[in-house]
Amino acid sequence: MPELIKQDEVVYQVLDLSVNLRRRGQERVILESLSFDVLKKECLSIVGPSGTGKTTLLRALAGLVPYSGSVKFHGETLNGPASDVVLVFQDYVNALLRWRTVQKNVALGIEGRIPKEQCQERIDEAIETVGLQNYRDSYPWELSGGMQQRVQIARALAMKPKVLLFDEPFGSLDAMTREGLQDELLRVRSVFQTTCVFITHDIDEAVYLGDRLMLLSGSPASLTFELDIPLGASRNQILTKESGEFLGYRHQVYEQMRKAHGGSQATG
Amino acid sequence: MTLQTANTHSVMIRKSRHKSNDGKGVAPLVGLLPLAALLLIWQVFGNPHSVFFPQPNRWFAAIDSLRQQGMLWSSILATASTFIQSMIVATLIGTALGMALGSIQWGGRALDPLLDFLRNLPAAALVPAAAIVLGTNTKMALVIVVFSSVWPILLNTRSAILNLSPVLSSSITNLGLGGFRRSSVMIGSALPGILLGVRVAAPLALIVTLLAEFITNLPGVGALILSAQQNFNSAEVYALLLVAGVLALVVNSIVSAIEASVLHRHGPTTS
Repeated sequence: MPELIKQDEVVYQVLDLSVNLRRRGQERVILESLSFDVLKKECLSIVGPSGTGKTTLLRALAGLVPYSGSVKFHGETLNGPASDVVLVFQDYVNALLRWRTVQKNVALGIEGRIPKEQCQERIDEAIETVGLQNYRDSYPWELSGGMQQRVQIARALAMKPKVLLFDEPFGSLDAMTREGLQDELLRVRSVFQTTCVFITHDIDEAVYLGDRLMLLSGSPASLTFELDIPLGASRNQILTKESGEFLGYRHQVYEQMRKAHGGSQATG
Repeated sequence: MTLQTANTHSVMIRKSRHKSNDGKGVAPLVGLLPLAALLLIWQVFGNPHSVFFPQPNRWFAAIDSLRQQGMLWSSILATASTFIQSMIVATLIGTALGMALGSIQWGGRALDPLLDFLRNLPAAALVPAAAIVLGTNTKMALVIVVFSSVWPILLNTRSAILNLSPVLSSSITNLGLGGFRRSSVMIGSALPGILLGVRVAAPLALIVTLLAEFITNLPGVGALILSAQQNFNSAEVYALLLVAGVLALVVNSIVSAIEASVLHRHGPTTS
C-alpha cells in the first residue's frame, strides 16, 4: 500500500515519534514510537480514551512540544511551531479573544500580514462559510457555545492552512449542536479540501467524520488499530449512521477499543 | 420573595455594566447625602466660636479666602499634575515589568521576597532618602509617588499574565504571532487585571502625593493643609480636608469610568 502513494501526497510522515513530558519534576513517557502518515485532503480521525495523550500528539504535529523520532511536514523535519497548520481547540472560550468582535477574532492570524483588502475578503469568506455573517460585530461572550466554536473554525479557515488539527472541538457542546457542526465541518472540507486530523473520544464522531481512523491507547500511548472508512464525501446524520457499513466500522472500533482498554482496566 | 430580589439585583448589575451611563452619574451624588446631612447638623448645632470644631460655613469662607489669594486652584493643579504624571508613569512601568515577570516562568515566584520587601517599604520613610539623592523638588515627589503606587499595578499585571490560559498562549503561538503582536494580545487579555491594579494604585498615589507635599512643603494641597495646621487655622484645615476628599472622589470616578469604558468589551464575567 505505501508504495502506491506518491511522495507529494503525503502531508505528514511520522516515524517512531515519542514524547516525554516533565510534570512536577517527574519525566513521563506520554507517546511511544508512533509511526503513521497523513495524506493530502484526507480526514484522519484519531480516537482513544481520555487521558491517553491525543492532545499531546496533536501538539506534536503542530510543533508545540519537543519530541524524539521524526516528524516530517511536506518532506521537511518539523522543528518548532509549524506554519500552515492551525489548531482548533476544545476550549473555545480561552482560544478566542473575548475583547475582540467575531470579525476581529477571525482576523487575528492574518491581519497585518497580507494586504488589507485581501485580508477583509478572507475574513468575509471564512465568516460566511461558517454562517456567522449576521454576527460579525458581536463579541464571543454574546454568542452560544456552538457559535463560538464556529468563530474559532472561521479563524482557522481564514489562515488558509494546509492542515487543520482538531482537538476534540465539539467535546463540550450539546449533542444537537455537535451534530450540526459535524455536518458543517464535512461541508467546509468539501469546499476547502483541507487536510484534517481530528481527535475525539467519541467513536461515532470519529467514524462519521474520518476517511481513516487510528486508535490510540495504553500508557504510554501507542497506535493499536487502523481502519479505512470509505463512506464517501457526502455523509448524512440519519442515513449514513444507520447504514450497515457505518455500523460495521463502528462495531470494529468499539471491539478494538474494548480489547485495548479492557486489558488496562483489569490491571487498574 | 428573597429569590425575586436577588434576581432583580443581578439583572441590575448586568445592566449597569452594559449601559454604564444609565443614571450612573447621579448615584454617587445621592450616596453623599448622609455626609451632607452630617455637615448640616454640624452647622446647625455647632458652636460658632469653637476653635477645634469650626462650623462648615467657616470652612467655605476659608476656601473662598484661599481662592481670592490665588492659592486654591494653583495648589489643586500642582497636586493633580503630580498625581496624573505619576499614575501614567506607574501604569507604564508596572504593566511592562508585570508582563516581563509574568512571562518568565522561573523568575515569577523566585522574586517574591524582593517584591514583598519593596512594596511594603513605607513611602513616608522613603521621602528623606529620596530628598537626599534628588533634592526637594517635584521630580523627587514623582519618584516617591511612582515608587509606592507601581506595586499594585505590577503585581496585578503579573498575576493576570500568569493566569492566562495555556490554551490562549498555545493558540497565539499556533497562529504565528510573535513580538509586538503577541504582547498586544497578552495585554488585551490581561487588561481586567491591569485595570484592577490601577484602581488600587490610584488612591494610594493620591495619598502619597499629599504626603510628599506635607513632608517637603512642595506647592500643592498637602502643603496648604500643613501651613493651615501650623497657623492653627482649623477652618482651613477642615476645608482642605474636604478638598482632598473631593479630589479622591473625582479620581475614583475617573478611574471607574475608564475601567468601565475599556472593559465593556470583555463581557460580563470578568470584573
